[in-house]
Amino acid sequence: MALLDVRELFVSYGPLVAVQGISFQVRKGQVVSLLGSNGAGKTTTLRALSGTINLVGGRVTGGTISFEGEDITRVPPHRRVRMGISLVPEGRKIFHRLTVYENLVVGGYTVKDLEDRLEFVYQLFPVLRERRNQVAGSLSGGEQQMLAIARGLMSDPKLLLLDEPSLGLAPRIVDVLYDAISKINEEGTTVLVVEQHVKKALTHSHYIYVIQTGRIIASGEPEEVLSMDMVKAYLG
Amino acid sequence: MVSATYILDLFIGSFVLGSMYALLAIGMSIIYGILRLINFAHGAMLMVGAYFYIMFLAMGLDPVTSLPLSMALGAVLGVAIDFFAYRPLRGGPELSMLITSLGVYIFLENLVRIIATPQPRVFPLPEFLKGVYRYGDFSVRVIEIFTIVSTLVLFAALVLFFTKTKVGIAMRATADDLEASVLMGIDANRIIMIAFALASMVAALTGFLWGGMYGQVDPTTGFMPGVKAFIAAVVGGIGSLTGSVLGGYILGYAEIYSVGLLPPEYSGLRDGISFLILIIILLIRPYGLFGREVERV
Repeated sequence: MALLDVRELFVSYGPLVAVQGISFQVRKGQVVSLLGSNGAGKTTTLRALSGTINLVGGRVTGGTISFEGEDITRVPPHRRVRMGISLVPEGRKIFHRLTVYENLVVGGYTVKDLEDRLEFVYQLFPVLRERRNQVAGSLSGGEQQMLAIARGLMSDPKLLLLDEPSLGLAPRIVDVLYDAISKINEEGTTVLVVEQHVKKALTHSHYIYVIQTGRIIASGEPEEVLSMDMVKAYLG
Repeated sequence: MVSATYILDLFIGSFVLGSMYALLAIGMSIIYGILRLINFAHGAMLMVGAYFYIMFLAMGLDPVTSLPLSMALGAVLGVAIDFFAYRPLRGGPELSMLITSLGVYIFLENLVRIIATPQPRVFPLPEFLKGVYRYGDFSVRVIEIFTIVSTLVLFAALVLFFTKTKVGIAMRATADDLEASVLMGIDANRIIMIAFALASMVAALTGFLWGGMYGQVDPTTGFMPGVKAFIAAVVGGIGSLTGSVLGGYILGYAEIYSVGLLPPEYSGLRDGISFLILIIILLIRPYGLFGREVERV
């Protein structure tokens, strides 16, 4: 049984159907990538998975999302976090006015043992420990992305959803982030990452789905998918 | 010639009035921070709180029980108003909530008018707050000291709550970015409930202080304090706790000193002066003294 099982999912913003019946699975322990260019429906898909789609004026109009065999399509977003799904959103959305430490405390809102989780994320990103009393808005772009991921890990998720973690960051920082993602995965967290960055997806995922204008057009192991001519043409 | 005692009297008077504005402004700021709602009904919560206190006294309870009970009932009413009036509008245009809050103000004022009659009511102060301390020419009432001290204590308690407790930090996070806070497993509706409970409880306390200071209340009592608290919150930078308190004191001092030092025929300008301060500060700092540019679209 897959940890996450999405079937025939339709998501609309008013009359605009952004996701048109996609189906995909994420197996426990894997890193799965959802590749696609701008406007393909990647972020919309993640918002449907986290349940925050309603907050931005969208709606799941068909299909089901199952997590650990349970239908969560109608479960409110805050409860999905308690079930073990955590989304690191597009554009990071860190709490700019709170300190690094406070951001992490809020990330661990649903867990009892904060200290344990703090130690884990500080070890993953030591720079956050150094900057824990700094206001989050004053961090560099790369540090903000690290904070966003660390904050997402504070709830001790079974499934971590990452929305374009490499966006707008220097290649050196992207390497650091992907190393961390691999480490997180080795510790037992399943990861679903949405990317435009094809190379990183190739080297760091177990399985890849390619999405175009709201539909899945290809899927398979990384080498297999990226050797398909139509995928090459689409992603470049 | 103005005597030193007179200046000191004005100082205490300003401190007291500023404290009450600050308390109301804190509540408006907490609600604005999370909902982006300028809650015009907040002034009515002051008036209703004062009436709750009178009601509990009339039921035969003693003052020391009536005050916390009136604050608790104020909190319940605040949460109920959110549930019935504002929650159905969430996700819609912010203007709808703003207009609704005006409606809620009018509703509360008229409801109290029907239930308690439009006549002003004597506000009975408990014995232990009735006293006056005299030092030569200078005198200060116990209720004045009580108002100042309870404001400062409450402000300190709120600062601790918002910086040291998980729920308090979560409330600031929600004010910073509601969508992101939901992604952290925070139930936004619960946070909004807590915000209304806190703000309304503080407003009910302010009602008690207001009634105690001026000796009477009527159904329109909350209007001007509500407007002033709004100005205080905006001057300080709405959404900022420290800003709201500072804004409250700025208004309190400006009002009392302008009335006290200008010739008597200008005393009618006291409300106008508040608006003048608002306009000047907004011209210089459009987001208020402690305010930040709101990046949300």
